[in-house]
Amino acid sequence: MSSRRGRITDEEMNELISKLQLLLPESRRRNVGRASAGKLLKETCSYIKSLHREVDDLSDRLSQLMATMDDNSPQADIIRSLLRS
Amino acid sequence: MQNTIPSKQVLLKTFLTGLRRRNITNKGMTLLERKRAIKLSADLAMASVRKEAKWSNALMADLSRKFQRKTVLPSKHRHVVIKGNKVSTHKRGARRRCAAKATAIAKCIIRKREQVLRRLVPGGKCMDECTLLDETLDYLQLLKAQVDVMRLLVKALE
Repeated sequence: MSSRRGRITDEEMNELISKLQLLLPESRRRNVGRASAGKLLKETCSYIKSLHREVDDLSDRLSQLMATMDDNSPQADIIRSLLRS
Repeated sequence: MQNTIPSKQVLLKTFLTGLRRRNITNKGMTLLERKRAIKLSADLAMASVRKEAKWSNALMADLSRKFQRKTVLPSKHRHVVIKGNKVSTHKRGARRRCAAKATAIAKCIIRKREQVLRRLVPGGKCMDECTLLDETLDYLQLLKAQVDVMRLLVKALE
């Protein structure tokens, strides 16, 4: 990743903003107006928070799945082979 | 900034390596212990797949502070020092120019939203506005990829 040197142009700034917009899922993109940096930042923050929550939920589920897994089940085989490599 | 999205395979592999290192199938672990180990593996996987990003170094530093175990960090990240909150003076000029076009009220709203973003992106507090956006882009890509990898794993095990 190159660090920014010298001045950032308005063009570069707008490019960053539109790239950010593209990363948002469709439903969130609709909430953002065309030239609204404020709304974009708001949706981005909200999106990052929801992704954090999802990582948390998925970690919970994985933990529970492994706890209740029967050693002889096909799931246990899957996990064993995945962790072996 | 390098914008190549790391393959999810690489991310998955790194994640699984982390899970194995933390002995994740140990039935003696409590649910909470296992969950923490899983989250740690997820964070480490994201950060190690993108070692050159600022958010990645900040995340590694956060994790090492939390867990204080030398085995957590691969050697490349071991000597990271968190800088203070002060943004260096030569970057203030760039920040002024970026904000120049907004009205006073819009500036205020944007600044407030930016503060929230700084808390969400690792290392965000020490970045100037433009670096922050750059880093956010990168961090978002990795977060999305990590969520996909974990969904995949859950699906495989259900």
